[in-house]
Amino acid sequence: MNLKFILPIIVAVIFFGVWGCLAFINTDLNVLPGPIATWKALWADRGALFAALGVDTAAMLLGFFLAVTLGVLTSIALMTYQGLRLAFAPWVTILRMAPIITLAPIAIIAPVSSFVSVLIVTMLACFFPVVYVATPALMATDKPLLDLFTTYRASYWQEITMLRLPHALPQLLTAIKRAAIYAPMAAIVTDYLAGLMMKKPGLGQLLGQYIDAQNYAGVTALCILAALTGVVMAGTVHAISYWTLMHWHDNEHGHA
Amino acid sequence: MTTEPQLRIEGVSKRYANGKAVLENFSLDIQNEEFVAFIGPRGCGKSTILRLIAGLTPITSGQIQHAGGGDINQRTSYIFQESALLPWRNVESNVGLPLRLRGLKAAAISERIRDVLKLWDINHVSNRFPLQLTPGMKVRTSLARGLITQPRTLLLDEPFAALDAIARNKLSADLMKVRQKRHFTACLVTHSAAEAVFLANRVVVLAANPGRIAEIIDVPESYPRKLEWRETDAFQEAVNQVRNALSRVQEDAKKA
Ligand SMILES: Nc1ncnc2c1ncn2[C@@H]1O[C@H](COP(=O)(O)OP(=O)(O)OP(=O)(O)O)[C@@H](O)[C@H]1O
Ligand SMILES: [Mg+2]
Repeated sequence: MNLKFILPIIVAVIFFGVWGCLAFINTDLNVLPGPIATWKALWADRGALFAALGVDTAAMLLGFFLAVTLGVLTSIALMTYQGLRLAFAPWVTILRMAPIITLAPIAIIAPVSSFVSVLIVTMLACFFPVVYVATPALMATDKPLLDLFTTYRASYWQEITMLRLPHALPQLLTAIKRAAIYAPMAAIVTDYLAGLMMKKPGLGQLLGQYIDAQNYAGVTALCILAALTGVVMAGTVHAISYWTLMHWHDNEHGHA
Repeated sequence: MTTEPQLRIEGVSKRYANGKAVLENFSLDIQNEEFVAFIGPRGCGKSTILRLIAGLTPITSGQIQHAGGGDINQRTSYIFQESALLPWRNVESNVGLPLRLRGLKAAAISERIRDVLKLWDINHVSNRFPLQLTPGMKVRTSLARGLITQPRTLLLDEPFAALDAIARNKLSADLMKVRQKRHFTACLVTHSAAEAVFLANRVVVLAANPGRIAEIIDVPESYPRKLEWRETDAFQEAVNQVRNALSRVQEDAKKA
């Protein structure tokens, strides 16, 4: 039981130890900052870092929520109309695998504002993974349950909201969790590429500044901050799925 | 019993999309408040008969008349073999589902939910989720949901198939009791000759390919029937009659 806590802590200690050693060996190069240097950089520049995080977070969260909402609505349309499904299925499959870095230039081609760029790319990065999972999940409803709704003359929307959506919820939440991890990555890459015309710098633009200034501790601190944002978002979705699904799954890990 | 039958099945044939004739020229009158049991080899079309009565699948030719006319779905309830409970709703909320689908508010139906929960002796588990129920309680929940709309006809498709012998007998006895309080016509599909004889006025023995009536065995014993009746010679004789009819059907199938 206690191993559940002790072992991960040992792993963390080893990780920080190796990181520290590598940084110590490489001091001359000054490319790999150690954990302490990173913490110092994070603390020293906390004002700029969190301001930058705030700039990206607003656009990113909006893009994420829009992607999930539109993704679910699109999946409902694809589930309903076979023609649409046949037409779009291959594109959804391909685009969900497109690396974010290849989506980001879209934002530079049409530079309205950084906020809009981050919003669009985050949306694209999160939209396809949601549609890819949600469409088959909405179609996989148990036959007897569908028959039940038919015998009680349920309307189309009753069938979707009271049966198909809740039935697909476990898979849907897994897809949303994945999207929550993609969102900060998409935001930072876009901001890095498109952020030049922004008044307030986002994380990506700050990253550019750090690289130019050869502030590698700052770069590391920024990456850790971005990763933590993703973890917090995914963790929030995970908590929501835990509480909503705990009654109807064999165990809380059944849908992880 | 009135002269006009509750259900009149007239010359019904059924072919599924693959063209195979599942039922051929099937006719049967079922009287008001009669209890009819269907028994026959696997795949002979027992579920298909119930699905046709419920309007879950279209009739290829012939017709099925329900006394009183109107909407079939207001007057029949289908009890599925798999119980077909929604895992994200608790017992109470599953039982109230048919009325919610008709647009009634939760507050308006709580009384009716309480009534049917008591009827099936599951009021003590009203807040449990399907995952937390024994197989017997699941069947009771599904039966309570079936009766909440006060149907004229209850269609039961092997409702006790997932239960052990003890739970089966207890539920047969309870179904008998409930029918004394709530008057409805019942069509039961079962693989148990004893269950069919115990519950039904008439046991319809079916033959396969295409599905048709081989023999009809009357069970004249009056209601309510007690569990002790199962120990009598009269009961055993009726059960043997059904079993013999079933073996004749199987022998004929082999010869053909
Ligand atoms: N939707 C369908 N499409 C095509 N064939 C079907 C369909 N549903 C049932 N059948 C076929 O029709 C026949 C009768 O099926 P049905 O389910 O009514 O039999 P049953 O008597 O209820 O069988 P069981 O005892 O196994 O429940 C079977 O041969 C089955 O394969
Ligand atoms: Mg069947």
